[in-house]
Amino acid sequence: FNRNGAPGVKREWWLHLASGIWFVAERDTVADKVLRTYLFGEAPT
Amino acid sequence: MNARLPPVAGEWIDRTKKLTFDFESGHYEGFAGDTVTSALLAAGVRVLGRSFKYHRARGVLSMANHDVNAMFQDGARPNLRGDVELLRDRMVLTAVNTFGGITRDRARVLDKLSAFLPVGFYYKAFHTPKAWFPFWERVFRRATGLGKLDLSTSRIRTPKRYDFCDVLVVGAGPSGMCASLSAADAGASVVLVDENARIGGSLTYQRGGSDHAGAQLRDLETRVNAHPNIIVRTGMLAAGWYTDNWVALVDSDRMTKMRARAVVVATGVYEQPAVFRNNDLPGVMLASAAQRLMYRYAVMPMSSAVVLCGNHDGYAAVLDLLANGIRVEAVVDLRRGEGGTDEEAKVKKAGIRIHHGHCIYEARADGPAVGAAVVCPLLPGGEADVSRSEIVACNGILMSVGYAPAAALMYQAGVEMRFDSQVGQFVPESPAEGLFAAGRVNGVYALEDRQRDGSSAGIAAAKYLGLPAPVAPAVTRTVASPNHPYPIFDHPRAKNFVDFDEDLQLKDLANAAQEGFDNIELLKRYTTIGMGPSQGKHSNMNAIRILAKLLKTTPGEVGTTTSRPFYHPVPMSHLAGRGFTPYRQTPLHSRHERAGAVFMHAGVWLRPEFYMARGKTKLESVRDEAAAVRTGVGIIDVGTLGKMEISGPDAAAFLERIYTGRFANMKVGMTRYALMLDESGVIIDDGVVARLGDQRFYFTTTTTGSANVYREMTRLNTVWSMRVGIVNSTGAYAAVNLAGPRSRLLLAGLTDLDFSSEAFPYLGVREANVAGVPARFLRVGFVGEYGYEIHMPADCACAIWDALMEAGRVHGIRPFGVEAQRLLRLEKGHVIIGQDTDGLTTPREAAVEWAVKMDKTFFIGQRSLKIVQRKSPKTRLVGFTLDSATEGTIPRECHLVIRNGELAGRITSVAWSPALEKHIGLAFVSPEIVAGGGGFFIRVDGGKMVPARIANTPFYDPAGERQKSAI
Repeated sequence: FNRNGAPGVKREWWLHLASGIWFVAERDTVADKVLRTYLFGEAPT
Repeated sequence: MNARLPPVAGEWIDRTKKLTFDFESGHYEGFAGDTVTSALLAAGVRVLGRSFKYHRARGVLSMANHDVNAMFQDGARPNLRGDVELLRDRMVLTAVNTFGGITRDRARVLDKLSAFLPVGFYYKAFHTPKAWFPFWERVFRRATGLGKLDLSTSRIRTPKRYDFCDVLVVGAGPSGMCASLSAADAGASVVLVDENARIGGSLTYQRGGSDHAGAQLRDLETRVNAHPNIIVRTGMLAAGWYTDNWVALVDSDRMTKMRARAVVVATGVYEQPAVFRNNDLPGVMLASAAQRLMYRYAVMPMSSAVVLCGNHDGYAAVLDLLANGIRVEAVVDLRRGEGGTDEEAKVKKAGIRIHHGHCIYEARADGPAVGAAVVCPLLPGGEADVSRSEIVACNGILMSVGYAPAAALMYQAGVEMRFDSQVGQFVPESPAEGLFAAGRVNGVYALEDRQRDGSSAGIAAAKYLGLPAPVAPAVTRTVASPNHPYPIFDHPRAKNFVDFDEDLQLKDLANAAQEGFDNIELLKRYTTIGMGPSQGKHSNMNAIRILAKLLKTTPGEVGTTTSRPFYHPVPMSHLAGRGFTPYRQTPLHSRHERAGAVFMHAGVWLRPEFYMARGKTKLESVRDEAAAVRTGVGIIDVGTLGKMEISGPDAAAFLERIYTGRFANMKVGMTRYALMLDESGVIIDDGVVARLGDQRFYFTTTTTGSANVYREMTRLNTVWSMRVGIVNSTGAYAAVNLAGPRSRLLLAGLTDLDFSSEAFPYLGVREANVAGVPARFLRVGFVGEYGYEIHMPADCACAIWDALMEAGRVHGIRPFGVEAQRLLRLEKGHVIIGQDTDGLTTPREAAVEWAVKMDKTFFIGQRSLKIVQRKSPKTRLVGFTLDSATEGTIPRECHLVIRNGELAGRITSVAWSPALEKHIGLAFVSPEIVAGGGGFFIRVDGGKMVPARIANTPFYDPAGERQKSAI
């Protein structure tokens, strides 16, 4: 809830609209690069 | 005077096709392939336009699409750049920005007054008295504007085109062509774009008086055109770079959005002017402009020239002039020593006078154009030694002092640029992913080096795509810097222009820096340098050099301004494209049309605002509709509401988490109001939840909220992993609200369901057939009368509507629209989320605390509400009425509530109530007003204060009897 908008690596919710699947994307908002994606609860360690 | 040369090898004009055209009061001839400027110059016209601020006579500068002082109006088409605009037969052209024509422009007097119009003068001189500013603004806009818009012109719809390729090569000069060939050889599909009418880049005009460049061009052109993997697009500009190599390509007809897997930027450079007094006179031009005129359009730029050199390219230009029969009076070389190049030796051998270590201090006019150059030796500090000046007569001056990279696409792609002091130019430092630079934009200048650099970039792009490619050739920079560090000369009488678009002189920049605008971005904004139509393509680099000198630092330290797409003006019609605002129609749309509905947009939907009754006004129609609901029966399409189904063992628990109310204890067959908050406790949606079974609920959302609510619920279900399935049936169902005291009577004949209040109580939900179609009935009353929401399969909606209208005829049924519904619900004091609430409204402020069950273990927004409720409220939504004697301007939505001269709230809804026979409304007011007896003032349009008083809601039928009993 208490989101931090400062540029950096963010974990974001993304939705694949066609299949209705939500997934998490880790994105560097400075470089606008998606670093990795995974399903909720399946974060790679 | 005819300035057309005899046929030149490789010329772009077709001498067999003669075209005629008019410019101002003259009638002229040109050839197919000519640009407006080349045809005018060939006909001996030298003054092509008037400058922006001082209305000085101007001519050719670049012939490279940034001659913004030679812009023309062709009928309804304003601001055509004559240097690139192709001549068409029977064109009728005028110069832009003149008062009474180009030769007699009355505003040229401004040139004499320029001492009183320093940079930023309008900020300082015209701000008081404030009331006069609109007058001054009109004066300035008239004096400075460019072409005239024809406001009656027809709308042009320009669809966009979408395309993709492996490698997009931008710029078809020698490096771009070599990059295309090597990428294509490796198997990549290549698109090669160039803004010019033909490919070849500098090979088409920078010849140095020999045929070497021409031979190279013919060889490369043949190979590029013959290669099956290369598509060549000329007359096409890469105007902007977007994420993942999405490049906006603009041609005369449309924009193409090109998705490239890799991009090679071989955009080359813009030649830069020198800054000296009267460097804007017609006849003073960039060396490359003269070369383009001669080799592309076979036009003599002048008959006798002085060439200002800061690099060896100037000597090549001298040889080009000589080869085309133009007399060169002198070469003025800013460099002290001899360059030692072949070209310089040839110029010397031709007997041309070369002044090393000299500058052009001033150009002198003969009539409106240049007539002589004042040449001075340079002192050790780089200033002109005026005491030893020499006047050289000529009718043209060439400037060859350096270049600026056309690096806009790379800046937009986030490439870091570094000022390379060896080359004297900003060059790419760290590459962006999938983006490669080649040629002069990369700081590589010798022709052979540029070709190798191009091949190398093409191979790198192919490798980036995973294609097998040979080892890239090594690239060196074998020539001395072509960029003079400071080709800028002060003059006590100024008129040494840095920016020709905006008429900015050297002293303007110095003044701005002295006033403290000494950062390149501040300098730009204060002086407007680089903000004209050419966007600094010939002024930014000099501005950076000037500022660096003033601050005693380097251009690299000063840095550049931000480059944003588009880097070149793009026609509005290309950007606007097609109007594409899709909207939804409900399944009953045809019935509304038949009933005379006037439609309005509600979210993504088109809804009947009201039904225009024959011979009645809108207001009368709306009041009649409302009266029908109050006294008989009305029907409104509510199919735009979001309609969801949720089922599963956790369905009730899920609803209790997303809504503020309680649903687990609901009986099957009953409905309940539901309020949704966001995490900060702000109201975002509401609706009705109906329990169809133990594990099955059907619920509605607001019209505008349905898509977002559904999406957020699917996300929350991903997080919470509860045992529920959620279906969005918004489009699958139609819905109407049948409301009014006669509604039960009407329905009784259409179904076999028991509609008595005992069998089907208020807030009940039942499923039954109506007119033979299965439907769902919700006994709810948004408008405050006995009524039913009927939800039915979308494809049967029209049949049911027709049956209801038929059965309702004897009861005087009327369809009613959103406008009447708003009035009816306002009489009931019902809140519309989004109209009577805003992005900060909590349940307490909206006076709907009764819908919030704080004692639940969890719901979204609960935690924030607990914190918010400890603070005293700032505002509260209340009902109010106006005195029935209120006359004149009636308050409207968003009018402000005033108490003791202070802002104390605003109106959210207001309407005249037929039931109460006065104006009623909802408003946010401060707690002081609530505590202080409830009287307040509303400031209406025009400033009048209208008294109002808080009133209890519902205004109408406070006990809610009418919803519970029917005829």
